[in-house]
Amino acid sequence: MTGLTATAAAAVLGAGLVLLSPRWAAAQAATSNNCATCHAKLSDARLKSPPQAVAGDVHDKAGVHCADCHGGNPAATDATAAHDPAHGYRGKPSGATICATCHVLLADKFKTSVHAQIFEKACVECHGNHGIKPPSDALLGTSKEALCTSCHSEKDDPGFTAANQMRASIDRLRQGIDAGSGLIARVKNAGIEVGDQELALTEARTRLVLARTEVHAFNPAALDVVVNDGMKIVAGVNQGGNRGVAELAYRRRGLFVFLALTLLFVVALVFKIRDLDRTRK
Amino acid sequence: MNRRRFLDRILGAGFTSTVIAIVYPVWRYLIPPPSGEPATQSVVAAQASQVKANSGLLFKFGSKPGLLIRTPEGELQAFNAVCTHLQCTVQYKADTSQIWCACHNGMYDLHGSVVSGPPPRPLERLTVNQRGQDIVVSRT
Amino acid sequence: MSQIVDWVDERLNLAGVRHFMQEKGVPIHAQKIWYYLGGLTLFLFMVQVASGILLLLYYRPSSAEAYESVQFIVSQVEFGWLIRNIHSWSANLLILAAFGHMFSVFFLKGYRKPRELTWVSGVFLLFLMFGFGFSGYLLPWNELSFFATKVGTGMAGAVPIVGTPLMRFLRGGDDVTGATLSRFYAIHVAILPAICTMLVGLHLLFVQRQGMSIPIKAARRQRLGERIKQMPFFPDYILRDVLVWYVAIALLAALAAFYPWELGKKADAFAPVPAGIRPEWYFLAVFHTLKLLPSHVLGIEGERLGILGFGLAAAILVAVPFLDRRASKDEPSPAFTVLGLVALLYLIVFTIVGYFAS
Repeated sequence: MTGLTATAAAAVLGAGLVLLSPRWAAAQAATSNNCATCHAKLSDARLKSPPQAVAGDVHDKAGVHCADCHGGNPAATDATAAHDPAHGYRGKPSGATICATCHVLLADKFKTSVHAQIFEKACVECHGNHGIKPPSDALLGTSKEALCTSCHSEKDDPGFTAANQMRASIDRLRQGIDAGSGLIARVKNAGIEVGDQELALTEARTRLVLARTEVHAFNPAALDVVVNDGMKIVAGVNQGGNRGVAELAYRRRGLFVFLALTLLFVVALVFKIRDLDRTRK
Repeated sequence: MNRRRFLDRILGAGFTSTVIAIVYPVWRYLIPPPSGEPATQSVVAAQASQVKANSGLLFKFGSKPGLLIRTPEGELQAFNAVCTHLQCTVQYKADTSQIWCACHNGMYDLHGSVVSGPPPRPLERLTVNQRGQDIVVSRT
Repeated sequence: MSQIVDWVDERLNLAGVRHFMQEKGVPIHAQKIWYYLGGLTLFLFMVQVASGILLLLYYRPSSAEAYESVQFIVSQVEFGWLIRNIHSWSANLLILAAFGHMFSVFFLKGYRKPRELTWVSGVFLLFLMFGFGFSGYLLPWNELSFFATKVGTGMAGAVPIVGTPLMRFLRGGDDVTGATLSRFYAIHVAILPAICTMLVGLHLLFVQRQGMSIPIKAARRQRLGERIKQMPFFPDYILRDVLVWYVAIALLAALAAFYPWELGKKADAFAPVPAGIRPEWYFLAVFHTLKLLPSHVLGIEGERLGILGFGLAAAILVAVPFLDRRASKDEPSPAFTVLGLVALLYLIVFTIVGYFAS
C-alpha cells in the first residue's frame, strides 16, 4: 500500500515536473491534434497538403504544431470549434511576425537587411512554411542547391557577389574549425595535452553558429567581423596543435637516436658472438 | 689482439649508452610534474571576491567551458556552459538576470531551466562548494 | 670487481653458483631457434613489471579518477606516454611470445616425460597472462574497455552452476561499476603478480633442474650413443638472448612512438553501447566462436555449451603431457601434432574473422 502511494506520488510529482517544461505542452497538444485528421479528408489541396508536409519536418520534431502558428483548438472535433477565433484562431499568419515569436534573434537580424523590404513572405521566402528542412550552409551562395540564385542569377549582380562572399566566409570558418579539430584530435591521440585547444574549439564553433545567424542580416562586412573573430580563435588552436606536432617530431628524433644506439650495440654483439664461436672451434 | 679489444669497447659503449637511454626517460618520469595531480571532476573556478552579485564568469571545466554565477540574492550556481541547442557557449545576462545563449537567443533561468528560445533541455548543473576563498565546482 | 666477488665469495661460498654457470649448457640442434621464445617471454614479463610499477606511481584506481589519471600520465608526466605505451605494447607482445613459446614446445613435444610439470606450470602462466590482459584492459576506464568488460564478465555468468556467483564475484556486484575497477586493480597489481612470480620461479626452477628438452629425433640419436653438442649458457647463449631482447626493446620503442595506444572516451555507464566493441585480440577467437554459436544446441544454451567447450579445451591443454603417451616414450606422436595444427589454425582463422566481423 505504501509502495503504491509512493509510486502514485512519484508519478504526480514527475508529471508536475514535466508540465513545467514548455516542450511538454507542445508535445501534449500533438497527441490530441485533430487538425491533420480532418484536413486529410478535404479535397482542396491547399488545405489538405500542409499537415502531410509538416509531418517529420523540423518543427514537428521540435514539438511545434499547427495551432502554434495558426491558433485555434486542435483538440476540437468539429470545424467551427476548431477554428474559433476565441480560441486564438488566426488563419494564415504573417511570415514576418509568426516566426519571430520563437526565432527572435534571426528575425531581428533579418529586419536590418535589405531583404526585409523586398521579401513579402519574409522568412518563408527561403525556408518555406510547411515541411521545413533543417537549414544548411548549402542554402547560401550560388551553387546548385543555393537559394540566392533564384533572384541573383547574373554574375554582375551585386547580390550574386555578396552571396558568394558570404558563403566563402562561412566555409572558411567551418573548414578552419574542421582542420583544427583534426589536428587537435591527432595530437591528442598521441598523448599530448590539448584541453585548452579543445576549449577554444568549442568557442570557435560558437562563432560559427553566430556567423550563421549573422547571415540573416545579409551584410557580408558584418558577417566577416564574426567570421574573423572565429578565425582568430582557430589560428590560436592551430598554433597549439603545431606545438604538439613539433613535440611528436621531437619524440621521433629521440626514438631514432635510441634505435641507432641499439643498432650499434646489436651489431657489436653479433660480431662478439661470432668471435666467441670461432674461439670455441 | 686489437680487434677484440676494439669490439669489447664498442660493446661496452653501446651497452652503456642504451642503458642511459632507458634510465633517462624513467628518471624524468619520476620527477613530479608541475601540475601536481590529475585534474579530476572538480576545479577551483574562481575566488569568492571575483564574482559579484548578479554576475557570472566562465571557467575551464575539463575541456569544456563552465559558467559560475552569483544570483542577485547572492547565491552561487554553476553550470556546464554548453547550450543544449547547438553547443554554443552561454553567458550571464545581468539586465534580465538570466543565462543567455547569443547564438539563437536561448534563455535559461537561474536554475538552468529553459525559459524561451530553441534549447530542448535545461543546462547541466554542477555542484558548487566554497572552501575559504576558493569556489570549488565539481560534477554532480 | 674481482675484490667484490671475493668478498661475497668468502661469506656466501659461490662455488655452487660458479659451478652452475660453468656447467649450464644449451643443446645445439636444428630447432634450437625456438628456445629464444621462452627467454623473450621472460624478458617482456620483466618489462611489464618495471613499466607497471612506474605506472602505479600516478595511477588512481577509482571510477572518478582512473581515466583522468591515465590522461595525466600520458599528457602531463614527462615520458609518461612512453611508459604507458610500452606497458600496453609489451603486454601484447608478451602474450604473442607466450603463445609462440607454448606452440613451439608443443610441436617439439618438449612437454614429454620428465618435463610434465614444466608444461603444466607454463600453461597456468599463460592463463595468468590472460588474466593480466583482461584485468588490465579495464584500468584506463574508457568506453571500450568498460563495455568489453561488461561483455566479458557477462560470459563468465554463462558458466554452469557457479556462473552467476562468479560473475558477481568478478564484478564486485551485479554490474560493472567502480567496485569492479577496484577489484580488477587488486587482481592486476597484487593477486596475479604474486601468483605469477611464484609460478615463474617454479617454471624456471624446473627448466634449470632438467635442462633444455631436445626434439624426439635428437633424443633417439642420443640414446643410440650419439653425443648432442652443447653450447655454454654463459656467455655464449646469454649473449644471443640479450641480442633478441635488444631487438624486442627497439621494436617496443618504435611501436610506442609511432602507434600510441588510444585512450578513447571516458567510460559512461549510461551512454549507449558504442559500435564495434570487442575484446583484445587474444580473446577474439573465443569471443567470436561464442557469438557464432546458435542460441540453443540440444536444449542447452549455446553460450553455456561454448564456455563448457573452452573449459574442456583448457583442461586438455593442461593434461597434454599425460595424454600423449607415445611422446613420453620418445616415439613420434603425429596425432598430437595434427591436433596442435588444427588448434593453431582455428585460433588464427577465428581471430582474423573476429577482427573483421565487428
